[in-house]
Amino acid sequence: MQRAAGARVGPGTAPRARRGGLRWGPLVPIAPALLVVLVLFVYPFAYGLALSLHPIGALARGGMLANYAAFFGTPWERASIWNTLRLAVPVSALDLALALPLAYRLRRPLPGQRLITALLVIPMTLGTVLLAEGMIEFFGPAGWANKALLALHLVRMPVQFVHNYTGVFISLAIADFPAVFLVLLGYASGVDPRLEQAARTLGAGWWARLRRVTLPLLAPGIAAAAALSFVATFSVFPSAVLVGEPAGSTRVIALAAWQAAYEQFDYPRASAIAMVMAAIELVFVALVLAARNRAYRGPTIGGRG
Amino acid sequence: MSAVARAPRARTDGGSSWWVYAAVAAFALLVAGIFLSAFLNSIASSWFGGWLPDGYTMRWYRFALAEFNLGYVLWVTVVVGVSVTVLSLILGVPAAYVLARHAFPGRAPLLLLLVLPMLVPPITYGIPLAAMLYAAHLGGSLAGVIVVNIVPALPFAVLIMTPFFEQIDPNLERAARTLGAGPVQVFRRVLLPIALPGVLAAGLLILVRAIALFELTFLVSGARSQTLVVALYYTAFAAGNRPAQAIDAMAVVYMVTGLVVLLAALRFINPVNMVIRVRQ
Amino acid sequence: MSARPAAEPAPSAPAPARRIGRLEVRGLSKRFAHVVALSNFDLDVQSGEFISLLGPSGCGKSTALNCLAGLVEPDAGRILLDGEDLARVPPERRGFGVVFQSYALFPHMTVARNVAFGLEMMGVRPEAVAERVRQALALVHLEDLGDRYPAQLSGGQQQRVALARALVIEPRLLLMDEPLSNLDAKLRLEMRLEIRRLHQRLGLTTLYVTHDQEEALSLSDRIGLMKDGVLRQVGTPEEVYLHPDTAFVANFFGYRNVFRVHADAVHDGRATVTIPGGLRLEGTPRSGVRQGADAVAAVRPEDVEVGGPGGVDHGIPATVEFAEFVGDAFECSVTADAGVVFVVRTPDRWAQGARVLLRVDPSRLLVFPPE
Repeated sequence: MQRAAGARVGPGTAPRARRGGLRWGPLVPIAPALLVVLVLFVYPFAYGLALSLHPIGALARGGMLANYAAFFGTPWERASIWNTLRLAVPVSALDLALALPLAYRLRRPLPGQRLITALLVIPMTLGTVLLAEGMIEFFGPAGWANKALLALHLVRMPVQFVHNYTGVFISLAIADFPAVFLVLLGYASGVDPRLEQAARTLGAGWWARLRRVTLPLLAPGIAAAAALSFVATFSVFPSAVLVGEPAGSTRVIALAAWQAAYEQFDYPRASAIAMVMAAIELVFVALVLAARNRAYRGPTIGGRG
Repeated sequence: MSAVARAPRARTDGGSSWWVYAAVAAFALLVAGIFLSAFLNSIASSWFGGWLPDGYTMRWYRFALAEFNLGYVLWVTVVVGVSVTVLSLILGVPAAYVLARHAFPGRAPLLLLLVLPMLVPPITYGIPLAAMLYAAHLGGSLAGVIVVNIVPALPFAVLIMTPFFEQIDPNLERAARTLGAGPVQVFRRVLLPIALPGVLAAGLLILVRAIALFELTFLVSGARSQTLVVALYYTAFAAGNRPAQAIDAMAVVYMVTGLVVLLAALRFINPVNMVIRVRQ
Repeated sequence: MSARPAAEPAPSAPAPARRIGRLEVRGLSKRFAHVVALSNFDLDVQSGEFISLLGPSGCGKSTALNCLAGLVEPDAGRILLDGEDLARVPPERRGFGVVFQSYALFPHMTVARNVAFGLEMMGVRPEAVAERVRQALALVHLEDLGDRYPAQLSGGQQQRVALARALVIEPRLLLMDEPLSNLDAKLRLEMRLEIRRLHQRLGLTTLYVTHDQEEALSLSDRIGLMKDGVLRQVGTPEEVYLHPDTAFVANFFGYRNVFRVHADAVHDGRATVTIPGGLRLEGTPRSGVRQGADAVAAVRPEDVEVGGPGGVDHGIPATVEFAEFVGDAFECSVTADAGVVFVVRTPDRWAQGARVLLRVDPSRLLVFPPE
């Protein structure tokens, strides 16, 4: 793409402004957005980091890292990391596994395409809170799910779906699916169908095509979807409270941070937990990108061939 | 000619697609079951044991309206959603245009910086941000809720609008400039009208997200600045002393609000374009 | 005119079966929704022959190629290669080489990996793969670019990789779908010679789809002309160029003067026709022209002779409207006094408004039945 470097320079501008315009012109329209991000995101983040290094209360004499030491030193707090990971990782993996074949097939038109896409995307509007609310009814002991299982004689006693790990798992899996699906659909639509046809004419069966052509070409999309999905499922806590067991197996790390801030009013400790969250996230994203680079070498270009 | 008589298969499709319909149907059934459970409960006079409620009533909606201040909460939700959308567009459109059209040193790190708020859990910057807002006496206010919601909405706006501007032929701008239009006029008279459908679609999507966004609003809102989703969480969290049907009534109102906006968005935009693809 | 197969060295030698490649296509048909893309397509291709399918866009030539490749399933018909019906065989088991219009190179693989792909699918040993990839790249003069990625190559180089990838599997049949249409004029000429050279060297049975008559004429042993999903005429370049069967084919090969006429008399290989406006011409009828019926007459610009009033003693009186210099001659638009406009090609520069006499060689004015 060619770029009009001096796009902001009008015909009547003075020469001095013209020179300035060439260098800084493009940055003027972007400045307000940049300012917002700096003030409302970067600064609070740095502020939170600084805050976390200044423990208060009983930890005040423990040194700069006392908040972190307390978090990792307390089994109950430390367990929130594991509680979150054992939700976020399997939920992301499941949604990817379900969304990938659907997105791949739906990149080409199918009768009822629009309806199908709408049905898959609608849970976006549900949000985790409504989902949790509906799930308490639907998956409750007298809800339709248990009624159906009992009527089909698949179970003898109502199954406990909610107020435990399963409840949070189902809720996150449903809430997270639309975004994963949309990201993958976007990438799948960008893959030239001729590439697969070329692989066929060269003798590749479906498995070889999938492994050697399709999956590598979709690797950037899979990585993006995995990262976004992990970020979303890792930080959500309403469902962990409403359909989970917030005092036990589903006490997720976001909840731990919230409780520190709003129940104990210990902002430094809450900030420390938030920083731990951010670090885990970034490590995960870095791992995903590294895996992506293993699958997809070569110049980073779209799969349009 | 025996081979001819065989029914033609869609070979290029790589087999049949029944599994797509089956999977979508199963997913839709699950979601519909969850939603209908909540919906039927919200209009049930009582519901014990049976497949369907024992009777129907609108009582719980009236209850929610009066008891949970539903009208006011809806008003707050609309004000927050619309303000966040409009502000994100005003800030995001010029930024998206620049990122689509200009190569300049530092473009890649700048883009990363603009995207980062989407990759970091809201809680991480939300807690210190809330502390800052309370220090600035904005905590708990409507303005505070709007401000925090801009943080994730703005990167989203920039990311989905950049492709719209990339699709516009740069020669159109050059043509306008040879015809005597200045940069502002080019933007206002040529670019914006062409990009308008994309901008509107982006706006609808930002609105959907703003309505559904929970964590940040939850952290800074006060009693008079709760959006629907936060109010719902509080009611659901304190479920013990409130009738479940009334909570469901509130949930249904929330769901319908979001659904209307999403369906409007789907009318104007191909879902594929809703996707964020960072140019590398 | 299929002299080339006979020129193959020792055709009786026990060559491996896949090198024979005799293709017979019978009754191939395909409909897309309401459009007939291919209708009762019959074609015989000899081993080692280079045959082009030529026609305007949407004529069904690409559908025919896709059916042969197995990428589109025909509604009816048989595809026999050396007697074996492949119409229901999936593309990955046909062993055909296909060169796509967009090249369809795998962007995530190096040039060498792209070329190796087909061999690996066939289960060729890795050492042998490396050697054959090296040979294939040498064949298209890309020895040094094996480690590059497709995005790092020019259009012409990508085209060569696509060729190497299709050739390296030693296909029984090579299919090429408008392979030169994405290249600029100079590269197109260069690659045309390259394809010609490769075909002469390897002798692969080749089916080549194009809309460019020059490409078809220069490359092919035979050309098949297609329109509306139907194969209209098959013949050597000379046959279709000099003796088109229909006005459609004639128009495709440079018969730019096409007139609706009335056939006054048809006998002894000579036809007398009248162009509306009263202009009478002598021509050569093709089969199907009936006396007393409507017909179509066509002649090339270079087959109309132009003389000054003193030069040719008899001819059609006409006036030069304008002349264009086209390099080796002038092309003039000339209006006969009877109102008919001719495009003529002449070595002389005629001034605008000059009075001239036109003479049309009766053996070069072809008369066709109406379409």
